[in-house]
Amino acid sequence: MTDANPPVLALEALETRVRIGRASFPAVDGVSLELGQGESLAIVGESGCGKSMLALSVMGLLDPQVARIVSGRILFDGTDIAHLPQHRLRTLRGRDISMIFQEPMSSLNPVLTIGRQVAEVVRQHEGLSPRAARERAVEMLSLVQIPDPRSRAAAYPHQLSGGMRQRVLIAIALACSPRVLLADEPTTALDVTVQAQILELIMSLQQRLGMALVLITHDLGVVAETVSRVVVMYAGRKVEEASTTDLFARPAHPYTQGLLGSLPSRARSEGLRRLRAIRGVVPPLTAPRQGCLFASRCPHAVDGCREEAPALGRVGPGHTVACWRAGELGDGP
Amino acid sequence: MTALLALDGLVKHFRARRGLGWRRPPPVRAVDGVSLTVEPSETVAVVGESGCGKSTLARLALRLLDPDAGAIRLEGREIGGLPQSQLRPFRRRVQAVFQDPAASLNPRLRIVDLIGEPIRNYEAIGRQALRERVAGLLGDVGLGGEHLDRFPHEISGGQRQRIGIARALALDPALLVLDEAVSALDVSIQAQILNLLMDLQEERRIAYLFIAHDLSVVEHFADRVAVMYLGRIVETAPVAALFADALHPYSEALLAAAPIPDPARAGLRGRRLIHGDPPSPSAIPSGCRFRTRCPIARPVCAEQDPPLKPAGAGRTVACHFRPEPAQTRSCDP
Repeated sequence: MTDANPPVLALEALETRVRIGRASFPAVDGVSLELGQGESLAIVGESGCGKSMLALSVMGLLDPQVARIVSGRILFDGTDIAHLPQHRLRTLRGRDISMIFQEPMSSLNPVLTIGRQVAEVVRQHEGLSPRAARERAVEMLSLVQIPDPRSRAAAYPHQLSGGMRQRVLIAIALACSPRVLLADEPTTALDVTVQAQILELIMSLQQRLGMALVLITHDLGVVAETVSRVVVMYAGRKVEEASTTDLFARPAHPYTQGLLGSLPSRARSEGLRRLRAIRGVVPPLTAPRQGCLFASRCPHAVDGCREEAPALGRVGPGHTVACWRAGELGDGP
Repeated sequence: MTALLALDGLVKHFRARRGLGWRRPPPVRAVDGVSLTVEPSETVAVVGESGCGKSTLARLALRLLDPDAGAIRLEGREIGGLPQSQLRPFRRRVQAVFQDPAASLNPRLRIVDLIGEPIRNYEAIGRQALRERVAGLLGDVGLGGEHLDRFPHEISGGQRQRIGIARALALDPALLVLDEAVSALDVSIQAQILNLLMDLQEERRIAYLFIAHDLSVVEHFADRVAVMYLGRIVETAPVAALFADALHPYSEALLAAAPIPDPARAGLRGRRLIHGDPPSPSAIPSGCRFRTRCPIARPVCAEQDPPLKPAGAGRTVACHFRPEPAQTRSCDP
């Protein structure tokens, strides 16, 4: 990030806690990151690492009964939106920051036509007349390459395939030209040939419309194909951040190294039959949080790792890692 | 040598019940003429997108479904037409591991009973002897004896899948049908389970019928691959040959769409993405099923259904134009 490109979205030591019974536990634990105008960033990690909770925190979509932001700031264009009241968030969501979710069927209203659902967003935020909103809806459907958009606008969600539904959600998300798009596992529910089409669509629209993209995914293949920068999360914490090229060429955190080592294609290119799996499992949210949270699974952990949590330190240009032993370990095994 | 499992011209159509009056909807032609063999201690992968019939094929091979037509031979013996009551000896030889271990393990049974159940179905065995047998099986799948008296909800997803594998191994089968057995697991856990399956195959000379959609896992794990599209196999090949040089245009498209977790390689390839979604298996196109999405389709493809024909080097392909006459693959590529 340079000063010439001030961040459109910045998280500062964001902490979101989830309540279980009487206690609360950090699902997002002091995460900071910056997203420049028009930049593309992926947040990767396995289930339970906090990546979806992070997105919901940014969108102000946390269920107040269950989870809330307890500290830190979410800066959109320099303004803290972490504690805005819902009515102010509502004007922001869909217009300045949009989100698409994994399951296109459950995000669409089954009893409204898709044209109406796209039009609703622009009417809400831009106060267009019904006719103008309908026109914009057709434009948006054609932007996301839905064939024959004018007649398809009258279709209901159940009449469309999964890939087409995801295109409709993208049309809804982009209808007001947001400056930031959060995409939470947008292709995980789709078949691989359709996934490729949708990713290509998201990336080409991102560049054409100049919006910033946060792609939340567990799929390192998708990361390598799309974004320019990656944040790796583990147990609610950011453990590594790097350009996509650096992360795949020089993963510095033992967890990142383990994730890459678990990939069959990676093992094959090294001529290995056995995969370098990470032993053990992700600690549950309720586990004690002392020291480096990866230490119990880490092949390089020493006693000190279990006592104090490592801070993020710089290991290269734009490349930071939270590991006590990053300096001595180099590029991994 | 007789094949361990030989599927010959299998057909399974699902007929919908008449809905609200009117016409009966057309049948879903889930498996529509499939022949495939699995040799002893071989891993055969069946890949394809959702709705291609790969899970129906797995259920037919397990005789959980009755085929409408075609033969299923296990170790030379025809079992496709046997009534359920005569399938007991067959069930010992062929066992299954499914995708969702939480859903396929009875939550009210302790692990000793879950794994012991198939043994007790076939053998008169005392309680203590059973505990010892199950403890041995737990050891085989990398779990300790302390799990014997636990319930499925007390262990992690990866461990539950190990329990599913131990249960499947309890009767020492010759063939395991793995229906998306690693698909729901996080990548680091998936690597652990794949390593376990590879070790078990080496120790027990067991054969796997591996139903999957993740091509990078298939490339690493399988000996031979069958690519399915809309109820038919369109190509079979040794794994290396398929990934080096896919013959069928659909196989090519699948490989092109699979994300590559390596930014250096991901950017370089010329991606030939196919358009649209797969048609519904209840409205299969005339002639070649893939022609509506095929980049090389010609008029003949709408009229004639191409048969699966030998293409040299242990390969078969169902396409009018592949292998191209000039590049007939008579020897290893």
